Amino acid sequence: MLRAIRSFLAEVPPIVSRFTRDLVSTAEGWLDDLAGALGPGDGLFLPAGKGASILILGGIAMVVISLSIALYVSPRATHKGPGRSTESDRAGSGTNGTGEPRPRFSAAHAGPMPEPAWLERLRETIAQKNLGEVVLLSERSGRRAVAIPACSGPEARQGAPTCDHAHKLIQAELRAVEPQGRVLAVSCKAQGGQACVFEIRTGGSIP
Amino acid sequence: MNTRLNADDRHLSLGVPLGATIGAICGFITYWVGAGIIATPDLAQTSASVIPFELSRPFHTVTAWEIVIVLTGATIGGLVSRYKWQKVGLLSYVALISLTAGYIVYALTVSIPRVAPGERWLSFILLGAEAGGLFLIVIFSFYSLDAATRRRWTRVSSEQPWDPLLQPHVALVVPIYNEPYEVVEQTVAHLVEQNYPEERFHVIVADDSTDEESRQRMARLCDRLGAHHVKRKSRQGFKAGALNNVISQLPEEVELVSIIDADYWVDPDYLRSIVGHFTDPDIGFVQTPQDYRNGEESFLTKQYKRAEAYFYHAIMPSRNEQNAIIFCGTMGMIRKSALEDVDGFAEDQVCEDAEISVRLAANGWDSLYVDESFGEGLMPSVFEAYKKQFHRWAFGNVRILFSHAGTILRSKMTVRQKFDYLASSLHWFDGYFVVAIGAILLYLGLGPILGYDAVTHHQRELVLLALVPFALLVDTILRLHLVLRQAGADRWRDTFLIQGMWFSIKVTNVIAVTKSILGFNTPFVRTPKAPGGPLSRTRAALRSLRLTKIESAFGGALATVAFVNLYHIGMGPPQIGQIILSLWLLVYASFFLCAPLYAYLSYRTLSPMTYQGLSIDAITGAGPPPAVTFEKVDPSQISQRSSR
Repeated sequence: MLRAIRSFLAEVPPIVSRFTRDLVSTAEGWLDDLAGALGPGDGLFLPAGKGASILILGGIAMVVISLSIALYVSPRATHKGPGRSTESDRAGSGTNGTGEPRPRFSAAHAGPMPEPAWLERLRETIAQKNLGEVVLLSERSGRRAVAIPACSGPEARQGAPTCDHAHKLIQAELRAVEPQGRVLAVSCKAQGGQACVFEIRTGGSIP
Repeated sequence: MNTRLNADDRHLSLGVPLGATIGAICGFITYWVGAGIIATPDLAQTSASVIPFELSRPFHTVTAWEIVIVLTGATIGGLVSRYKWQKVGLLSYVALISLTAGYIVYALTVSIPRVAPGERWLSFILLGAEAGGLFLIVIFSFYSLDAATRRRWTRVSSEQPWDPLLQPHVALVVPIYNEPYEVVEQTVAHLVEQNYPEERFHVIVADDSTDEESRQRMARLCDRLGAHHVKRKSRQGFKAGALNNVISQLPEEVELVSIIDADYWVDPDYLRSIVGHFTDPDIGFVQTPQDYRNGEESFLTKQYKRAEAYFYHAIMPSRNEQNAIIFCGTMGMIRKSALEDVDGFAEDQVCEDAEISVRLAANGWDSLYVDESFGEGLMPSVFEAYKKQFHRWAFGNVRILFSHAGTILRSKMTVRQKFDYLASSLHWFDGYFVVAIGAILLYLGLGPILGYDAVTHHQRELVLLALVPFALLVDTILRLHLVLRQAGADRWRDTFLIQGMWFSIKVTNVIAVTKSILGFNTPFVRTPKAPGGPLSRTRAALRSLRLTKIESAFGGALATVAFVNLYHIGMGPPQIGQIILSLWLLVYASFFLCAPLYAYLSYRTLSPMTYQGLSIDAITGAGPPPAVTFEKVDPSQISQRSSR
């Protein structure tokens, strides 16, 4: 096969074989230089091959030993994946390990949010319409759930279905301050629900 | 003045120097043990009083190599300090670097210079193949050690308790293309049974099937179950095109999109368990593991399920720590606005799922991996399907690498994210190195048969070739076992069988990667999941050989040449080079012969399973039960709050 390769090389255009020969001889020159630089004798530089042999044999021995120890000491985790991290694990660990840590799940870590202006106005409007008091059921980043206990009151019954009326009121108050805000009806008392509950979303990209 | 340091400062001030110190100690131990092994023959002949001095030689006679390995250890220790590995993990990685570096230096300074100049061309090819293989081993060792020896996980998803007030609208999209009706029927039935307010999720079947009758039947099923059936005139863009078509038609209020494969039975709690993670506005997609219900269907499915555990319970958690996971095409959920931000799925890619992960990360979206299974699908149970799947993955991932390498490098991703996304496609290339080394061994082994003497010239390399790759093979098996054990696979036998399964697909990967590099266009090929029935011995053998022509021929040639060499050794004086060559030929023959063996076993052990699905009549008769109602608010609680 070697003979076949040689005859093939002899037949290809001379420039190609000359280039190949030059490439190989250059690489061989580098090799000789490297061998000379790394292995001139004892002392700081070990004899040629001795240093590499130490790295190879030391590496083999320690790979086998360390992995055997790891097999022995690491727990036989039969659960899937790593255990859940604790609060202290996560504290201060930014996603990429650089810069200021970002709260991964703001709902879990953020403190109570200040009440926005529109909610105050909404409370006043709902009170003026005799629909009872707006109850803030929950709040998390960019979203709030409110209940209006008396939204099925006499004034609300006039015209459209009850929840639609309250829905529009909230929507109007919210949009006046936050044009991107959205109101979603979650539950309606007039339709058999136990309370009229609305989810109010602010902040644009928040789902 | 506040003198307390925050976590990052503490890490920089203590973690890195401490890690570097431990790494340097690991480097020194490696050197010391290596020097001790080298000196053992001499020590055996010296007097006992000299031994302590000789063993402590690395402490008082510093060499260049000692400095190099200690500095290398310090560098690695400093770099991985933030990952909080166990010390044995760091020692293992430093030792692996020492082993590979020593191997390459030895080849360059000792083996090759001693080969006759006219014979060195083979040495260079061998060195290139070995260096490439070693490079990949070093990279992927990092991931397995990270998964197996990490002490602190910082991005493990907290459980998101169901909050009835958090109910974003979700679209569950099932792309189908000529899948059996019965398979899709159960998928849709499971999806409409989600424990989630029914007005807030939509099940959509994106039907690209070619048979009109089948499409009409599917449309009727969707109608019965309250799902939507979407079809198109052309299959433009294949699966990605079908998904884009559906997403473009979604109502405005739909904020999250989940893609579900046609064969998945999804847990009723899937939506309510996942939507909460999107309260972080930076999260672009959430991925959960793929899981399978046909794990006992054949020899192949048993190994496949365990091998997938390696990816989903080792690689993905490790990459999740760096915010660099991939979207896996099923059982994942994407924010619609993120999809719109990157202009949807790429229709010119066959791995549109992995591809979109790269563009989302490049556009600044975060991702989150939730290591909890919420559904079970079907995996390929016979070798033909397995081969098709890996062909598509290898082809598609390498195309992603070539088409997006520039995007990744120019993006604002962190260095580690860039590394993860670039490195994740590299393992598809490992087949080249296995094939190249196999071919070189074959050439060396053919010498005695064809009448040329290559073994004498490359005797020294053969000794090295026997020692180091064998050590690396042991290293790979140990690490794999370490990780698989964490994923629940305890037996050593399973580790070897999984390794064999990966070897069985190497040539397929080489072909797919070559096609991808050469710019071939491969249409999206759906992985067939209907296995058929078991085959007789003869038919199974014939089909296996037909499917693995290259692997069988190459493996057979390697084995034959190995036996011929062993026969030659028996006829004359033993040569260490030829003995090692013969053994190494047999090892490589076994790598390639895994393909026909696994193919044969997949057909012979095939036992198609039937599953107890949901009753469609029960679902439609009672109507989709609203498992979660909106009346979650306790009226007494409201009145109490009102009165305050």
